[in-house]
Amino acid sequence: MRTFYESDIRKRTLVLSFILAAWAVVVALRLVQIQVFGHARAKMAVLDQNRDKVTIEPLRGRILDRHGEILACSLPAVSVNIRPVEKETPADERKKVRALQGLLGLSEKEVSTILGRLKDNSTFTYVKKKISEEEAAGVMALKLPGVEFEPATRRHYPLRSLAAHVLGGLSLTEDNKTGVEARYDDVLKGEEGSKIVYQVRGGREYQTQVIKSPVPGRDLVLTIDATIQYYVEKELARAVAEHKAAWGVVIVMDPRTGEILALASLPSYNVNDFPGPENAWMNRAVQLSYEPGSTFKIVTAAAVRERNRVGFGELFDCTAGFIKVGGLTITDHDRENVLSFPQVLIKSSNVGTVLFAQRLTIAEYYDTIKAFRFGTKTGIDLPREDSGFIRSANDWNKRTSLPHIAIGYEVRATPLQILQAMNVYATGGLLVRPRVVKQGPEAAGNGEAPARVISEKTANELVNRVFELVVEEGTAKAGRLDGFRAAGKTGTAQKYDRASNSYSTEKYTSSFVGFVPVERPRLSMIVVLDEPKEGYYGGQVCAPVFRDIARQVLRYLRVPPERPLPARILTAGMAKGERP
Amino acid sequence: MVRRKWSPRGIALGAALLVAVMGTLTFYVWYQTESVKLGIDIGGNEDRIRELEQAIEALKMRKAALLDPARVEKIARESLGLIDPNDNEVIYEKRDRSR
Repeated sequence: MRTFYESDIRKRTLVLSFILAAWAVVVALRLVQIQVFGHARAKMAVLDQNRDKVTIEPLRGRILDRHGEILACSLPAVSVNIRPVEKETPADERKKVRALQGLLGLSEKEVSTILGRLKDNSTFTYVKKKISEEEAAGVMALKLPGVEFEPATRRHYPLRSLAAHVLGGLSLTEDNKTGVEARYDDVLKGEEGSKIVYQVRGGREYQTQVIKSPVPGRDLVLTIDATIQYYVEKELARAVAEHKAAWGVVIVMDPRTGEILALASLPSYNVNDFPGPENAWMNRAVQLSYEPGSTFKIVTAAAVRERNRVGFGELFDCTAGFIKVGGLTITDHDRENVLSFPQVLIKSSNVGTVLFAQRLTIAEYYDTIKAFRFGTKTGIDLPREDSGFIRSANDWNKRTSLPHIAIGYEVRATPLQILQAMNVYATGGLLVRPRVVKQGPEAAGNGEAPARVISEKTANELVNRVFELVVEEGTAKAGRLDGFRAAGKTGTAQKYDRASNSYSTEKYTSSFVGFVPVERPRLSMIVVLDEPKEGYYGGQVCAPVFRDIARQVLRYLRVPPERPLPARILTAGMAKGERP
Repeated sequence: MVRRKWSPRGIALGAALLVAVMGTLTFYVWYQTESVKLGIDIGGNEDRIRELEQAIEALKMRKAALLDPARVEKIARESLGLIDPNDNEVIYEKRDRSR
């Protein structure tokens, strides 16, 4: 028989067991709730704590010149960032940032920005973006707490400022770009990839899982020839310095294909430091239009000859040196005699040009101007091209606009548009679309047939009887090339002064546009200098630049002279006692 | 109680079975280890290829910078003392028109 004491213990044991069992059941139920029903949520929470989805930046495509020389390429780089570290004093933070300043060349402003963000407990601050791997290795060696690294790529332009306005450039953050970098961004940039990085506490990675591999950007082959570009930039820089010009432009093109071989615009900038100084941003070859002056007479000549309104033997009296049309007085730079039609253009007489241009109606002349595509973008594959400006024929002043436009005023054109117009003569009357990208489906104007602007007969007659003589004996004599026949037209346009509401007699835009050799043109070129100081006539300041560039380029392209070189008199000294 | 007597054949069969099981397990473990090792090697080689490709790109860029026409001209003129030939000193090859 159990004693009272034994019975009580048994009872208490049962109660305790029941309580413990109940507690175990509660714990088990809670575990089931957390681990079974809350499994998905718990797993996500754990993964969120130790994994990170990271974007993999694709390698941007290279930009190559027509012979495969690298003009732009991307290389691996590292971005450095910083985060606050627990229990670190402001003095420690300053010491750390100063150490980074020494290695990364940070400015005082950048240092104070970083320190300010650390003080505000900002969890992420870029110290410097896209530094080289060597610089990154130096920072890593310091083993600074809270300093982290992020892989990236950085754009490099090995030839620095060469073809700067064609390449454009790319800012470090890649949100600001121009040139072909902007125009062909879709081709060059590739597609981003992504990966999941698993990290242990403290941020060290222990596993990486690539979800989507990045697709690298495609390479872009330009029509630019780096060597020709170099000749052009060298000669243009020399001319701009010699004449203290405000800006200068040279474009060299293959007139048959429309391929731009070189395009230089000064002032320029080092593409590695894009965007560079503000006054250098503009690609004046395509983004700036100006009143072309006498180079526009190539359009006027086409308009009258295509309609047979003037014969090559016809004479024009230019002896007065000026002509009054409506309220407008148009003058010649020098007083001329009675000139034949070719002589009017060879000597670039404004009076003579107005006399034969008046044989056209406004509608006829406007049609020719539009056929040359003035007032319309050329369609070159560079961003922000200017379309130039020509008023609609209905808005022309019935008396003064035609003669004024005939000599290249009241019309604005980009240097590229003037060159495209001269190419019409080089191609026997065809208008070819200019382009800077050579290969691939993305190349502009692929398979596009050139449009006929004037007949082959008109083009050839004007070249052989007028524009070749402009270089041989006319205003562009300084552009004459030994061994080659060149054709072209000079321009010296007075600049419009908004302050005085009149044309300046001190500021000019000088230009020369031409092509060489005449028989089978290999290159066409325009040279424009704005506000040249030492001499201002196009034939005086721009034609020699054409000559110097053309000589080097023709030799580089191995184009043999088409006529005998002028004989040179060789003199030789002879020392005493020497026999001949 | 009768003590069961194991036949030699049964023992051999059991031993063979044991060896087969152990062998299979050993092979499986070896296979897994080798796979992981190979994976690590492949990963390492891929990293090396990537590094070398990047080094090639960097060298190509360095080459392009060294071939900068401005630099080449400076060396040619200043270090080597080269000058441009006169127009009549240049000989052009005649192109074979029959081709």
